[in-house]
Amino acid sequence: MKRFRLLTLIVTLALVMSLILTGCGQPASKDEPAKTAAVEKTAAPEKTADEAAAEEPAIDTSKEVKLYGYLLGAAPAGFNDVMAELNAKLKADVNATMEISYIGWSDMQAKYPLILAAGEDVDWIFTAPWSFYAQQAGKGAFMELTEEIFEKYLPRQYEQLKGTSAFTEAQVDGKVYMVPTNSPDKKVPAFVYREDLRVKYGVPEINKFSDIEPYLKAIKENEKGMVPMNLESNYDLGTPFGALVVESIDQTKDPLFTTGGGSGLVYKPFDGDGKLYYTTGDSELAPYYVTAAKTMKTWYDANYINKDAFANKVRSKDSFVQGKSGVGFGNSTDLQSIIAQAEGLGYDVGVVPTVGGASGKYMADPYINNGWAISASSKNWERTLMAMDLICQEESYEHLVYYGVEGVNYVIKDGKIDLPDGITAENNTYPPDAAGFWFTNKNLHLPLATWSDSYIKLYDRIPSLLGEDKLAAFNANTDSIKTEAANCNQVLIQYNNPICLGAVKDVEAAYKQLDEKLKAAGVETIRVELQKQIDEYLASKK
Amino acid sequence: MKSLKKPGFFHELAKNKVLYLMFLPVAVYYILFAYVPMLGIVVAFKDFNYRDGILFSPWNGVDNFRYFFVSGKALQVTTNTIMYNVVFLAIYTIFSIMVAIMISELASKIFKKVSQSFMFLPYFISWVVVSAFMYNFFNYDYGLVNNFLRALGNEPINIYSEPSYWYILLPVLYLWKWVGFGSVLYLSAISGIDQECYEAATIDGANMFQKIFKITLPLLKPTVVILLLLGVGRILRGEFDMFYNLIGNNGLLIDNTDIIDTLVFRSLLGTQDFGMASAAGFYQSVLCFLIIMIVNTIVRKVDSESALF
Amino acid sequence: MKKSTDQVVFLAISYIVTSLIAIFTLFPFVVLIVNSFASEHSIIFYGYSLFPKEFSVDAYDLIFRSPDTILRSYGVTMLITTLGTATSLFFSSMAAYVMYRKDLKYRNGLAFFIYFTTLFNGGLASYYITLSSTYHLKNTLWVLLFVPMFSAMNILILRNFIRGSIPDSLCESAKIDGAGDFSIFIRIIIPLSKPALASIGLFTALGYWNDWWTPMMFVERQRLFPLQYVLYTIISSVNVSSSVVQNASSVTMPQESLKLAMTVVSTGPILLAYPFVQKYFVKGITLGSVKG
Repeated sequence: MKRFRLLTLIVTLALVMSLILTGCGQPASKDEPAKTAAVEKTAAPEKTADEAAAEEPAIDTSKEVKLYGYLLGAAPAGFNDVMAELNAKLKADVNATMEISYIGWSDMQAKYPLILAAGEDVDWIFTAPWSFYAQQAGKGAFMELTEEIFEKYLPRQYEQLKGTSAFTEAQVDGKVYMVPTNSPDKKVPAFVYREDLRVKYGVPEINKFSDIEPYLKAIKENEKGMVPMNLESNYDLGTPFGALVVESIDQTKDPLFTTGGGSGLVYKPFDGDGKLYYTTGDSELAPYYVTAAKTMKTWYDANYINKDAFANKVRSKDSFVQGKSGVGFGNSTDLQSIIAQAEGLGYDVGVVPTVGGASGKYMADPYINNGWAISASSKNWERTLMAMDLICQEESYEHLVYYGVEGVNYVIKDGKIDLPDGITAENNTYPPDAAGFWFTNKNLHLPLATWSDSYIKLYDRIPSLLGEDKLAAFNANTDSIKTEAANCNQVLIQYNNPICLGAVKDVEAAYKQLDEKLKAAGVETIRVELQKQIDEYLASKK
Repeated sequence: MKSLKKPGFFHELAKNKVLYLMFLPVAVYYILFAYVPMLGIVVAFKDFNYRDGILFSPWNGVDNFRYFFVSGKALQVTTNTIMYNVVFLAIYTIFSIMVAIMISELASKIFKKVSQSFMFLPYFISWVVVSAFMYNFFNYDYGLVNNFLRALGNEPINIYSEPSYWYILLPVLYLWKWVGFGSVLYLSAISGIDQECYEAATIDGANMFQKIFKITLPLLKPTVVILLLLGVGRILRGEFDMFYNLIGNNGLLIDNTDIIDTLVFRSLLGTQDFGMASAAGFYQSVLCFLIIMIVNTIVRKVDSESALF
Repeated sequence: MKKSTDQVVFLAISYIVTSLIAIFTLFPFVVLIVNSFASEHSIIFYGYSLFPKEFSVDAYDLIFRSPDTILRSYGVTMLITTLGTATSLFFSSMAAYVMYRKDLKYRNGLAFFIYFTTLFNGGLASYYITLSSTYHLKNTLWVLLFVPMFSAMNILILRNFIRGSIPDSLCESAKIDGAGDFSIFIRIIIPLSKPALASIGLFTALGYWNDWWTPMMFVERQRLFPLQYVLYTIISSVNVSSSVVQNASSVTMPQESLKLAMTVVSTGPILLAYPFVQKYFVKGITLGSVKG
């Protein structure tokens, strides 16, 4: 008897398990809406054409739908409250509710493409070149967005983007797959240093990065416990080297840039001829790189740079605030809170943007640097577009998703965004910028009450520091050179990073080795292919 | 007579239906969660796109494998992976057995339990945190180790620019993290040994060391063999988490500490290509498969009861 | 009973070596606990120290800022750990027992069937798509239960344990006495394999407890987040807010001590459960006790 009961139990368990697994556990609810939606979707393009021809009737929103979106990062604590309010508004305006999920920063590489590959329950998703926009679009992840679609479903966004280069930038093989922001961030790379210490030790003024050597020396000699430049292993590692190079040659850009890697080829974004240069060997740019590397080496050998930078996970800007590092690297946006914190500690902070030596400029962010796309599998793309148009462009929506609930997360005081009484930056459940809506219309923003004077000074200077990257809209297609691209990337990480840090024994020998390795990895194949693509792109623009 | 010697497939199923039924839940699990997704192995030979999905994307031959083999590093990382794994497996096995035997013989119950618990602690410390520890202990400026060296009047060491330290550090860290875990397995194997064996040996006048070498170790042999076999079956799979967190992209150390998994990660950072990632995985799988088939066949020849399958 | 010389020597060596290893493994954990209470400034400026230079509970403050979330996630973790471990252990040992039975013709075939899955896999993309689009397991408790459930290694280790500790004669005599295949498993195999079940159960439970990968890939609803993943999101959101936030926060987030505090918070409870498992590792099981 006992035996019989147990056996039945096991068989039932096994059965239940297989039933649940094959999806029979949740039949109708899951499949049916999918089917109807699929029909709607296939019929949709015809419908729009018909409707455009007719008198453009109001878009049918009679059926309530649920929209699924994906952002990068992590939900702030107060996210649910913001979503509740957002959904109340969306329900009233377009008869839809939205559910937003996050892809964590560290999972982006793995999870972002998977969500699109699986195509499950995703209507819209954040996209940008740095989250692999062109690659994903090329694999068929996104729905094409024609100008008619923009006009009809995204009227407010279209109004803002019309006449800008946003659409050209967003083109992949001649088609647009994303909705770029209409207000690209204005930011330049910069570094901070301790002005109080500079004055104290009688060091000459610092106006550009190469002026910093005497300051580093003074810190090393006088400040026990401080490291002149305490670099971190990822972002910081190549930054000072890059700043030196940019000062001597002006801005250069690797078309296949990744953090720490790339292709080993650069073009000059302000030149407009799109010529690709090697950075090693007998290239005309090579001597500049060698000089910069030698400077880095003298600093490294003099212990101005921390010896264990390769293992340090604390950004120099964060250790700057803690009084550990004499210099902090970042950009004009993320240094802002560093400056505020440091001034709170009584430091006098100097901020210097690292811009091109000749032009005095940095490449302005392209429109596509932040944006979103409709997933190719979206079941309710029309409603998604309508909802997103409101979120990005309607002030009440925009402030809600960007600053949170008014009175809870922010108040407007004297035309500035401030925190409500009793709320501090630490316990604010929805800090501005943190929720990941980086593609909304930032022209609707107000200044923050917490901006410090030195930051406002820098902030006002930024527009004059920005120049146009003539190839900003160029998207390299790496399909035919993926082997070479992968290998050059790994060669650069292995052989170039130690050079940038100044940690090699002999700079010239290290460059020679890098040059050989890059050539063996097929850098010439990449150059030929990309130069061809760039030339075609430039020709098409004329 | 013949049919009795070689009963057919269905006859066997019918004869042992209860046993096969008892295996069914696990079998269903593996079909659904391992064999069905395993079809995706074709991605390694495809130019994968989302429209056509995994099964219908166009084939592209061995294109996805090229980057790995033309990198000029395939041989180096393969050797590195195998060498590190062999060393890890060897010290892990030896120390786990040693610790298990010692703990099992200890008289004090409290001491036994406490020391065993302590050895388990490193299991909970992720490699991310271990790497923060290494950074702090070996820091050039303020690290404990270098402060100590300076106090003795020695030159400080910089482990992040000198590969030779890692030949010692990596195995030691591996051991540190896993010895508690590994000894649990052997400890439970020792617990399973029939006490009567020892009693008989004591009566025969055997001393402690004789008992260990003549009774405990031989009786542990099947456990040792199976764990070694399982280890050999993973010999091409590197400890990515460990190497990535401890070494990262440190170009000064890469040649000596590069394993297949870290090379692939570094190469594909900018490409995000499922096919290329799968290709490297496939290479590891095939090599592991060949090695384990050979080793398992040899083991089966010697002692069929110890073989994996 | 007086101990002979060889016993004394052996015990002396054992105590010394075991103590050394125990200290070697304990020491970093002590440093970890101490420094989880250190201020961000002291970690960045002085590194880890043996005694806190600047005491601070910022990291714990941050973790327990929304206690509901943490408590809920403890609940989720405990639920999947207990449920998953019990299910896994029962079916794993059953499968192991089946493969142990010598009279089963295809026992090696079955072992190969299981083992093969550790050699080849279809890659992440295929796994993700199968589970999320084909089985619709995304955002369910089931996915947290199923993904870490069985391990080929554990099943094969169990099989070998049974093989090594239970003589075939025992099974045969039970069969002659009229016991069925299933009741042999319940009445003989399970009681005799307690040490093995304890260790494999421990590994399975740890696997569930520490699993942050499954929720990272397959769960996006906060109410289903297990502990490890909640901690993981806290860390990653702190990293983000320090790098993209335009908001001028005047305090630094305790990123460095947070890493350490996270380990303390996630390790504590399961460490308390460990002694309960340990009692099964006591030497002295005799077959006689079951035979009788």
